[in-house]
Amino acid sequence: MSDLRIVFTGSPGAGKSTAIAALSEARPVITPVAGKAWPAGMDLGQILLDDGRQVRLLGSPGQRGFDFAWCAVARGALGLVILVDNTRPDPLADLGLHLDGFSEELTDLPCVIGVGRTDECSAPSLDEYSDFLAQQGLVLPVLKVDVRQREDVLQLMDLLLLQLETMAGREGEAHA
Amino acid sequence: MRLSANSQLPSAPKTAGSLYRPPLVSVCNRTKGVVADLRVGVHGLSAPEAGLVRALVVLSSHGGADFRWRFAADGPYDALIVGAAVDAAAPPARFLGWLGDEGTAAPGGMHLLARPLQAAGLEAWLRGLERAISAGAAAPAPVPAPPPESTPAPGPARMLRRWPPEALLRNDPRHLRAAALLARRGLAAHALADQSGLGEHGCRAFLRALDEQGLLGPPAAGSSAVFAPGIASALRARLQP
Repeated sequence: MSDLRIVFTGSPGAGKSTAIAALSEARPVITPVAGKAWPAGMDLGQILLDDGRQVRLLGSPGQRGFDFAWCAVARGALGLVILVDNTRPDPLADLGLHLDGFSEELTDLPCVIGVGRTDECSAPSLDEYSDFLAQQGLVLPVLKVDVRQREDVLQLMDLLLLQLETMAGREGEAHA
Repeated sequence: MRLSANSQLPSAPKTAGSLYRPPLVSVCNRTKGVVADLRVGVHGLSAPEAGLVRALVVLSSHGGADFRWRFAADGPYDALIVGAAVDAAAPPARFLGWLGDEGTAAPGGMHLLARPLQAAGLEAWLRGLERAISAGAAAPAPVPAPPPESTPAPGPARMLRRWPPEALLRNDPRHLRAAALLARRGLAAHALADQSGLGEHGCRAFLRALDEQGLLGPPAAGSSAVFAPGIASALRARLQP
């Protein structure tokens, strides 16, 4: 069975676990996949499709020290969700860290950015995030999100799936 | 009586106890060295709402020395505030704003000016348009609103050069979907319409708004739209709200 996964990443406390919990139908702590065990501390959720396939929802550790694992978890994934906590001291730097960490994959990997806790701290604004992405040469959906609201998480997924549907060849890879 | 930019303000009446009333069409900015050269008007609004827009434009012109807008009774317009979907009778305008209730989606990708209309919101919108016009250098010809029964040419495929500003997206799910699609592939309006839920007229308006802000470019080499069923559709079926 092919390994189908969507990766959730972001700074600590950005809401990765909450977002996964909003979507997951089951949540093992650690599950071996194709003989490998994911590193400890990585949230795992799953969605069971009607045809029996499983899509894993993988929360990668957001701390800088774990960036070595980011490429490994993102390679071959269906998509990437980057969650940012707008109340942190430098949210744009947090985003930049993850954009750098996944830079090789972002060219062909559907990705969406969710900015949380904007009601507590309105700066940076979404337009500043867009400017920051443009400076990195990236055009990615960025929107406000409250991961405690399933509708917001579903909207992130909708935009992710739209990208997946439009990118040539992704469907072929997913079925490999 | 319409006052031109070079007209002198009428002198205050000398009758004791009378109240001087300045003309409604303000030329104050002319005296401050800023020419009010951008025209904003209304179409399809009630008389009280049209009067409110006019009064707010005047207020803004009094409050800001660099405010370039003036209320105009007839076109062509740089900005036109409408109260219904743009029809064939609407005069041509560069930018369209829709006066509607907060939380509703403005038709055709227009900017929503929420009721009750306030000076700050109107001024912010007009100043944003002013920046867009300035960024566009030479003034483009006014873009007429297409009549509903027209069938324009499909147009070339375009894609986003940067994620659109929040004011243009207005957190409308259809705009977000359209932008997400354009972020990855070059699409023409007719192809964008099916996937975004905006409809072809709405897509054309959205693409026009993106283009006016310099956000669109040619598709990246080798890109093409592929709408393939499979894993994405299976996930969608499972992730129903």
